[in-house]
Amino acid sequence: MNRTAAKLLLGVAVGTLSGCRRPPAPSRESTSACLEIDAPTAPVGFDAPFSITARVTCAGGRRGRIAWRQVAGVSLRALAIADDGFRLTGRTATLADARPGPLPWGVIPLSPRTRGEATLEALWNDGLGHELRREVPLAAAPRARGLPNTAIGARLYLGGEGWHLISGPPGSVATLQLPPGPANLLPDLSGDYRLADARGRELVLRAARYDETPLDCGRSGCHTAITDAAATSPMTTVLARGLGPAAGSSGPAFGPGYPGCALACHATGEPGLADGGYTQVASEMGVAADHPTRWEELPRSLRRLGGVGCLACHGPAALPPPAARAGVLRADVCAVCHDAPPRYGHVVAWRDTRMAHADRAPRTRSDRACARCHTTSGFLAAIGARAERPSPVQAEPIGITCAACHAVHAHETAAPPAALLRPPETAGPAALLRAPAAPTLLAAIIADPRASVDARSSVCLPCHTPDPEAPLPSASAAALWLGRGGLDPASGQPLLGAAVHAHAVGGCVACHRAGPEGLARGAGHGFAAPPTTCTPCHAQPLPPTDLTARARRLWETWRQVTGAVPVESAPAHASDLRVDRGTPLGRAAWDVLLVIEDAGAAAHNAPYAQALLAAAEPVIARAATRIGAARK
Amino acid sequence: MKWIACAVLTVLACRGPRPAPTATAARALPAPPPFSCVADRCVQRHPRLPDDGEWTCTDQGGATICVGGERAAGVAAAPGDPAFICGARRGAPSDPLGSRICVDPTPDLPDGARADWRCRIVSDPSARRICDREPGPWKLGAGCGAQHPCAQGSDCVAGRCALPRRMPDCWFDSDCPNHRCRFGSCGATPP
Repeated sequence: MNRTAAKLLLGVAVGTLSGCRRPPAPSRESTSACLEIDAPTAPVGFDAPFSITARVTCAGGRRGRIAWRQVAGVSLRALAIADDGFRLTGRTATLADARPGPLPWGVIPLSPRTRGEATLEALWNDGLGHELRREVPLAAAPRARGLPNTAIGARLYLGGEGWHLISGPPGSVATLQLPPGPANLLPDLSGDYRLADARGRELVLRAARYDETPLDCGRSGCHTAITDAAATSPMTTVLARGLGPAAGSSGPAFGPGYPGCALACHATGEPGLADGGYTQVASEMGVAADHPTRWEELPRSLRRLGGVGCLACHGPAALPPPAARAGVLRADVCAVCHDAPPRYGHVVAWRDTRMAHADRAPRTRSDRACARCHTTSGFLAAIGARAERPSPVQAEPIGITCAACHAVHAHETAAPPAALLRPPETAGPAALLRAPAAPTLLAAIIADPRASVDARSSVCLPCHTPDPEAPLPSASAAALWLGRGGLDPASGQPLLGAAVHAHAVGGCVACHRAGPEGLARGAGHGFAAPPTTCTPCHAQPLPPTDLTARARRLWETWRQVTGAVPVESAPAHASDLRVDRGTPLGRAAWDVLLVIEDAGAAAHNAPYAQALLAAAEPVIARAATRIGAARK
Repeated sequence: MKWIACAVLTVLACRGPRPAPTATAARALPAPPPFSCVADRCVQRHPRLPDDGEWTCTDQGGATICVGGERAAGVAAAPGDPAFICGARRGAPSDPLGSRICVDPTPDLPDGARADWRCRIVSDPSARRICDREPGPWKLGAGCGAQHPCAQGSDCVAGRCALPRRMPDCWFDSDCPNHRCRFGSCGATPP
């Protein structure tokens, strides 16, 4: 046997979505159809061996050799080729390599980025100038939302120590796989699996096939409004729209080859698993899952699994126990499809934002006033989108997640549902932004048609506008942007300013739309606004301002005048300080804090910020003079 | 051995021809979901149902009768299965079964021979249609005449038992004031 050391080029990630990659540029190959690959179609496990064999069925194809290289995903290990490349062996990544960092307790969420997904490319060459190329996707684990209700046939990995299985459904032979690898369980029958960790903390997993889970969420008295709205939401209808005829053509609207590998995210279930998902049911029915068939012509059982319906996010089987239900708010749920860089970088971009870590400090989760804008559940309760339901999950930081801004059920979005938080040039029908009521402070200007404030900013305003009745102003960016929030120190009347950037198309995201480079989609979820954002309208760089430094000097003076204790680590709005808006000095401090609370004041509305400080400065200076004189 | 293998394959994956659709079926019927057969029992794992919603179904005398109508949550709209004739359930049922009744007078059968199968639909956890080979003359589509009357609720038309043309409207007898519910319809037969 001719065993040859492989020359494997590892590394360059060029795009993957559960096996979905852009096809490589055409080369001299005739057709890759006669390069047949026998590779695992289901996840093989972390740090697990795999074997791939290849054969060329074209005339004379057995000659030549196959070169392999990894073209996407986390690095595979111990790759070795044999038989002139017609056989390849290796090991998948470890869980630690695929998903670095601490693991959460319970079901470990796994996205296309973190499930040990990789793509290999086989390039056959006969030495005579003939080439064939095929890509081979591999994965270590199924994607997981991190929820305790799950599909049978989908192996779950567990974070925590000392797991043991207490009970399972009658007839189940599922066993818990324990270290040296990560603890994991493959539910084999529908029902509840009770597990406990070394400290006795219990986890109840509820398993079922997707196709055996009722879709009766809309029964009278339950989620009727959500069901009504979701019927036409872009998520629900994605497969139906994609399969529909393209304009002027009989082919799929989403292009030739659709649905193909897009089924992993445009339908329910994990391709390759016996989970009762779309591809398995298609197989049971003798239907080619990836073949373009009109939505109306699909069998009922497939339509119920087509599109991103309830189970795609909430999971199959029964509802999780009440204590675990808030888990659906985690970004991990969305990550099963939107964390597949470089093509889908939404979650990658978001993870580096301050919003993703907004609830890191324990007090932000435990104090209701903080939770309103520092936690997803608190925000949703504050805007009336969800009942206030404190839960153990919220005791763990999850950040301000996708669900805070996106109403995926579509019943709370601004009409029409295509109200997007995307720059107009990339607008598509899918953002499903929430449209909460305008904060008190901004209600008048938002309602004023002359101001023409872009409705897409609505979702940002509640947490970036101070409450005029709060002891201290907090997070004032939107207020400054629209020239509102200040108080005339002398009279106490509102101090209004011009809303110089109110007309920006897209509102907040007209500028806050930058993120990591190299992402085809979703980079805007980094919400950064680099200086280059200004250049399309401001040819000259903006002059540097001393707004923040000036505001901090005034704040320090006010603190000395009033004897307030200094605020060390936390922002002022998180302190126990309060300003008395009934006095000129208190109103001046309010105005100064408005500027301090907006780190981007100079960009949002420099004239208004300067006006606030100009109004406050003489009042604070006079008070300082008086105090100084009195001390002498 | 070849013959045995062929026979086994045929039995395991038979996809029987469907009887001709009724005249009311305006659209072409999609291919029937396959049956898997072992010996004299065939199971259709993904049977036809009236639409994508939630249904509870039974087979009666060779027809499939369904009650339900709750819309499937999170599923894009699609037309109902044209094989079914649907109507509103009478009265205001207090049970949670649903407010619509649908009848498929010619449901899928493993091999299309209507008189040779007795079928039922089980709905827990998901709908499956189970057919047992059981020849008998009492079903819709079977031959009929003076010596072989049709089941109550069906008529002998041109020598074959058939359902009268009417909108289905009941699930239980109690849905029908002073009548019995037969084949999903409150017929004229007194209780």
